[in-house]
This record gives sequence, structure tokens and C-alpha cells, in this order.
Amino acid sequence: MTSLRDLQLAFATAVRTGDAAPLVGRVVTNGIPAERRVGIYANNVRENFLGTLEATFPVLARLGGRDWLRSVGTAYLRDCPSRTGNLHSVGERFACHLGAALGDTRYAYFQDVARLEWAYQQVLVAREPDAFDRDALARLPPARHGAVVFAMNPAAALIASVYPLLAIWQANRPECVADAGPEIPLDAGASRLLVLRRRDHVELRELPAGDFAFLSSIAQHRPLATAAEHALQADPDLDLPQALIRLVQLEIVTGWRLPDSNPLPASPSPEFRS
Amino acid sequence: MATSQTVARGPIPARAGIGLRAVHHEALLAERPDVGWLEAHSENYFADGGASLDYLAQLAEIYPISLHGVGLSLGSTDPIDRAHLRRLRRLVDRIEPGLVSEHVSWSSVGGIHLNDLLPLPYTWEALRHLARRVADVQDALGRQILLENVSSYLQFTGAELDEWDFLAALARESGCGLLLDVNNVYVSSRNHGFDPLEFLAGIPREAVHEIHLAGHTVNRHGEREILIDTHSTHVCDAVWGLYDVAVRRFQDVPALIEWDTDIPALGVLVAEAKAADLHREARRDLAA
Repeated sequence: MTSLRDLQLAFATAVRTGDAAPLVGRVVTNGIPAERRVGIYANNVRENFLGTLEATFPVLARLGGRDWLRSVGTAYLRDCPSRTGNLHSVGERFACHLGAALGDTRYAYFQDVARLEWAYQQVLVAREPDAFDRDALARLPPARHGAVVFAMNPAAALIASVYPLLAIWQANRPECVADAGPEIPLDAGASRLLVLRRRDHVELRELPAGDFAFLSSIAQHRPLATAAEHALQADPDLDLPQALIRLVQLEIVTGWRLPDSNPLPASPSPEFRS
Repeated sequence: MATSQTVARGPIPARAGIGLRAVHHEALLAERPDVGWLEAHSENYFADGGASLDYLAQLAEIYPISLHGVGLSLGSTDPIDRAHLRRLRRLVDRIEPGLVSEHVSWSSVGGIHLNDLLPLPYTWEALRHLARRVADVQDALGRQILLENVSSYLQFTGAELDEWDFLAALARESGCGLLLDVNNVYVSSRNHGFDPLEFLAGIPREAVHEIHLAGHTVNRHGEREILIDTHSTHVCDAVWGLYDVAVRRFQDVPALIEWDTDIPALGVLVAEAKAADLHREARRDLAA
């Protein structure tokens, strides 16, 4: 007798390929061929997957059309099947898949749109930031400031693109009326976008080059000295203390830590007050 | 619309509840319709934060909540996904649901998830395997869970038990409770040609802690029909009739209206739940 393991492997293969041959002799047909019966499950699997993709990438669905999204989604399901029991995770590798599928075609920008939409979904479900301990930071001796590792709001993401992503996104959100605006030239300018959840809604905003470089380093857990260096490379005129104060006030930077566990000093220092 | 007078974070009352869907979050908070309880799909609230989780937390202060999972793949021969289980445990700790449930099915093998409720063969091997994993999950959650019978579109050859005997043995072996989906009983009975009343009679009275009701669609294959569990429409008369039988056998059990596709306005779900309450009360009066 086939073991449960073997039966499940054969069933999964049949569902994924649409070929019921691996299940010959294992399915009660009762007037309906095994292929047809397995096909019901294959259809459920496909529809669950594609329905989730459509809900996760509504801007892409509008840009490429629903039929296109379902077509490319079917290939994505074949090449990158789900690896978790949580359907909400299935879009994680979609941007990468599009990058490989679309290459240097005129639709290559779809990959960046997918990255933006995935970031949007992740920001929606990210945790709330911890309280920013400004007093402890103020007590830190200036000599240690360079070692501070700031934290970006967990409900924030950064997206860089050579395409005008914000304009594309704004013109193709699901709530936009069809054919509402002029076509957006893809060479209209690069994007440095911040995606940030505030309470129950998500904001998208363009960031100046210095802020973006600074936050990118922070997002990679670089110490302040390194983040500052990157920021100033991107914008030599950046007023870094003011930028940091602004980013804290806007709750984009929401925490900090030292890479070691030395106790914080008792004497206050005003440098990072905002 | 009458508003809910129920006390939240308690046991699930023996009334009808409705499935919690995101499109109804705001209306539920604003209107507080008089339904007995809400059932949330666990995975929809695995988030670390954000609005959906906030809505669920707020609604848990108004209604008793049941958590119903679809992703643990309990019947799979792959190892249990411990990260998934940890997220479920975190949600259970956060929401303190009256009931936690999953399915008698599998959805993953070889590390690939098909994200559907796939059928198990009703064999002793599958039973022992599933019972072990259910017991494992109950240990991890520190509580009993309910296992739901699924709609199925095929049966495997070599079955050693009827489905209802499999469920009864599962409850006995693992200590789990059962979530009896009456629509699924009806759908599977039509698809496989068994008597749904025999199914109900084979389920131990004390094992059933929750009932599901939903709509299905009918597909044709030549001269044959296959019923598909779509949760996309009203409960049909035949399923209401089976529910009448079920509430006589499984008394004082909460029932849930499930509707996941083509989701209607909240009022439609509330009316369907009211109908379920009326069916239960009528059967109870007859029994008295």
C-alpha cells in the first residue's frame, strides 16, 4: 500500500501539473475521471493564489490588466510556489519573478511597481514602533554618538527606482477612475520613496537624496557615523542634525541603540533633542 | 438593527455567529449587530500590527471570538510549521478566543504549500499521524482545538474507515473537539454518495463544539454533478434541513454563517445568522 507520504507527494504533483497519472488506482472515480476530480483542487489552488496576488498587487493589475496578471501569476505559481500556510506571504518573490520575466522590455518597470506594492502590504501589517527614548539619548556623551544605531519605524519602507513610481502609483490606485489622467513618461524622473503607515493609512512620499541615503543606512542598521557619511555623499549640503530631528519628529526614525551593552550615562546631553 | 448585548472574551454562546471579514470591520464596530459571536480566520490576523489587528482587538471587546485556521496543514507528512504555530499561539494569547479550530486536511508536502484544504485518505495510518499532530498542537497552544470535516471532491481507494468514524476516532485519540460543518457533510455526501444522516449519527454527541453553515455551488460533469464548497451564497434548503437534524443531535452548540466569496452586506449575514437561531430554537422547542 502507498504510504501517506507517497500519496501526498503524488497528489501534489498531480495538482501542480494537472496530470493525474501519479494517482492512477488511488482515486475512486465513480463516474468522474480522477483527472477531473484533481482538477477541482488544482483550480482551487490556482484561484486562491491568483486571488491573493490580485488583492496584493492592484496597481499592477490595473497597469497590465487582470488577464495579464493572472497569466504571469500562473507562471509565478509554477516557478515560485507558496512556501507557507499563510497566503498573505505569496507575493514576496513576485517582484523578483517579474524582473526575470520582463527583463529589458518596456514593461521592466513593473518589477519596481511590484516592489512598491509589496512594501505597501508589509508596512500595513508591521508592528508599532517602540517609544523613542530621547532622554537616554540626550544623556549619551558626544564621543559615543557616532556609534549609535538608529532604527527606522518598523512600519516604514524605502523604495528606490529609476522610474517615476509615485506618479505611476497615484494614477493607478484601485480607487482612481479609469483613464483619468495623461500617460506618465517612464523617463519622467527617478524615485526615492518612503512608504510609511500612520495609524490606519499608508503614506507615500518622495524623499530628498540626503534623507533617503541616511535612512537607507539606518534601515541597514549602520551606525550614525556611517549613515552620516552616506547621507553627506548623497547631499553635501545636508544639515544632518536638523534632518535627524525632522525624521524623529515625523516618526520615521523611532528608536536607537548602542552596539554594546554599556550602561547609559546619567548626565544629559542636548544634541539629539527634538 | 438590534445591537449586541454579548459579553466579549468569554466562551462562545450557543447562538449563531458570523465569519469576520475585513469589508465588515467598520460596520461591525459602528452597528454592533446582534449576533452571538464572530469567527476570524487566524492567518488574516497574523500581522505584527496594523489596522486589521486593531479591528480584531476592538471587536474582541464586544463579541466572543473564535479563531479558525486554514494554514497549519495538520494532515501533512511534512514537519509542523513551528513559525506558523508560534504566530497562532501569539494571536491566541492576544485575543483569548472562545474556540480555536483547524481542518481535517493537509495542504503542504515537500516544503510546497498548495494553500487549499486537501483530502486525507481515511486510513489508520492517516488517523494516527493526524491525531499525533493535533495533540502536539494542543500542547503547544495549551488548549483543546476543534477539527473540521472538509468538503471533498475525491475519495482515495483503500479507505479503512468511513469519514465519520475517522472523525470520531480522531476526537477520541487526540482529545480534540469537532467542528461539524453541515454544508461540508452535505457537499461530500452528494459528491460521494453516502447518507448524510448516517454521517451525523456516527459523530459522538459530546465531541461537537461548533457547527458551520455555508452556501455551495453545483457544477456539472456530463450527467454527474459535483458540488463545490464556495461559501459564496445562502445556505440552501437541504443544508438547513440537515442542520435541523444536527441541532437535535448536538444540542446547544454554536453555529457559524461562513461567507467568503462575493461577500454580501453585513445585514445579509446577520439575517442568515438570525435564521440559524430560529432553526435551532424551533428544533429545541420540538424536542421539549
